[in-house]
Amino acid sequence: MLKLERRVVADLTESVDPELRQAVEQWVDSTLRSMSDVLRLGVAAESALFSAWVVVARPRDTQGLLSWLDRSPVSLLRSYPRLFRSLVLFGELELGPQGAR
Amino acid sequence: MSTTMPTEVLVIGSGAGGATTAMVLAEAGLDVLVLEEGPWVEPGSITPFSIGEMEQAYRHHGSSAALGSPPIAYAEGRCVGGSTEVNSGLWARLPDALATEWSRTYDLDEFSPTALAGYADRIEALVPVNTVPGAPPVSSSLLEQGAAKLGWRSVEFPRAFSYDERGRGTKQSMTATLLPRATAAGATVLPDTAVRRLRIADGRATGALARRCRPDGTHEDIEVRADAVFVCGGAIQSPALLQRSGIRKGIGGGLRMHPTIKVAARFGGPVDHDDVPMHRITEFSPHLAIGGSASRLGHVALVLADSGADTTAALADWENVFVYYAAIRSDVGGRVIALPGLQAPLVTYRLTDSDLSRLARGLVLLGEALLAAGAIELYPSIEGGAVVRRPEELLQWWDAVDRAHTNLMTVHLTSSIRMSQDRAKAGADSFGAVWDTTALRVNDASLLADAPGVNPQAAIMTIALRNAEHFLSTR
Repeated sequence: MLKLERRVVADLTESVDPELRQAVEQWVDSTLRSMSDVLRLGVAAESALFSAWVVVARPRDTQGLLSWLDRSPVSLLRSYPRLFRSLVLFGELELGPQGAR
Repeated sequence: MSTTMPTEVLVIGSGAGGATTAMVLAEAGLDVLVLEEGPWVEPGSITPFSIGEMEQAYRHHGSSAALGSPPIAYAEGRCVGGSTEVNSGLWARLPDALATEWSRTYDLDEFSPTALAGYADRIEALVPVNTVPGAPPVSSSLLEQGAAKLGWRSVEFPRAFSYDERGRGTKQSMTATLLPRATAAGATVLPDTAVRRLRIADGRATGALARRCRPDGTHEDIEVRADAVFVCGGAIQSPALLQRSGIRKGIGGGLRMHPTIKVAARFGGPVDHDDVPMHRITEFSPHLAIGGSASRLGHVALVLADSGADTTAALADWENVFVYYAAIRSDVGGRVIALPGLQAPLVTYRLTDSDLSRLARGLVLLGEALLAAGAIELYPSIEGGAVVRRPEELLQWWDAVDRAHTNLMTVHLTSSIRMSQDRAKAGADSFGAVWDTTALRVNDASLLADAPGVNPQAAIMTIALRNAEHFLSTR
């Protein structure tokens, strides 16, 4: 995962359990690694772009960035937070105590 | 330095098409080698539809997507047995009307409903196909009840399952049925072995170049020399492999799928979550199918989150929530394009405005059925889509299904090569022989002329049996 992607995952993970947080990060990381080249390149390009954006413009934090992307009229931009939110949500619930049933 | 492996027949892929091909040819006495890119996953060792299954048995952990407006997420199996190891096992023969239409449109030899029924009978003698003994699970009965209240037709589909005296089911995937028969007849199945490209010499397929991943993480390059090659990697991987090998005419352009839109339905009481409903509403088939989907906690949460509504209460009540879907047959289709230097192909798919209208209609009809079945809240997989509690509110969904906010997915991918006696219409002839390349056949979902409107596994295996026997008859 790229640096921004790691920060996004950390921000989106709600659990305070360090083991679960680590498991979620590993799940997202391994899923991004196993993505098709084309999709991974697209996500990485967006991450690089947004990393620069966070540095030079507002919002300067990842939560602000995600909120801004969520409100974008461009569906491609909205798909970025949706991807990470989906991966983190699925991972957190399925790897947590309820999902382990 | 590579290892050379000689064989009479190389089968690439071990799913519904590859396993059928391998069994037929091995039992006919041929020397058969099956190369499977994915790992061997011990049957029963992972929970169906779990995160562990996604990691071990799905390509890209189940997170693939066809680019388009809107994009369509899709999932493919990637393990010994292919998608038969991860699907629901629902079993539906190719509808006679489609067989007749395909035979006429694509000038297919020996493709009458009667001929196909004979092959389907034989497949079902090899793969146990049964309905659930006793009452179906609640999630399935709810679909039946909703349809009955509206006067719509619904059907309990059989599945490729066998049941013991206690009613416990075991899925009859390829690792439980045809692959053991193939290996008993002498076939060799090599997992963790990805074919990089086919060997083609003077217009004839002579084998393949592959890379095997050893358990210690090292690799072994393999050169397979074969008298005949069957490509059975499914509707995405088969055309990509042919293109990487320099075969492009009629390959990859006609991809079809069942674009699917989902609803998380909250009921007043608990719904089972360990299985997929066997009932489907068939009132609008084959152009629109309504059924139920995997609904573990994570799946429920994802569909709830799609709506963008406050789902805190519904998620806390997830034992009462189940995911249902409406799936359509689409107008145009998509493409599979192997890109130089990249391992996975680019997949695109185009939906017409009519397709989106059909999806909206399907969503509204699905909502009607679920409310009739007693659902108290419906969350559509549309960003900003209204949560519906009463039938009159369903009208809001008509306008909500658009290209910018609708989240679609599919697990059925077909038709990216197709069969036809007319070279202009397909990449292979009536029996899957690739045009202009001797000793090379395709035998999987990519041969289907169109998305069948039902789960395609039965049709894939039926056609694969037919084509494998045709190959034997021409030797």
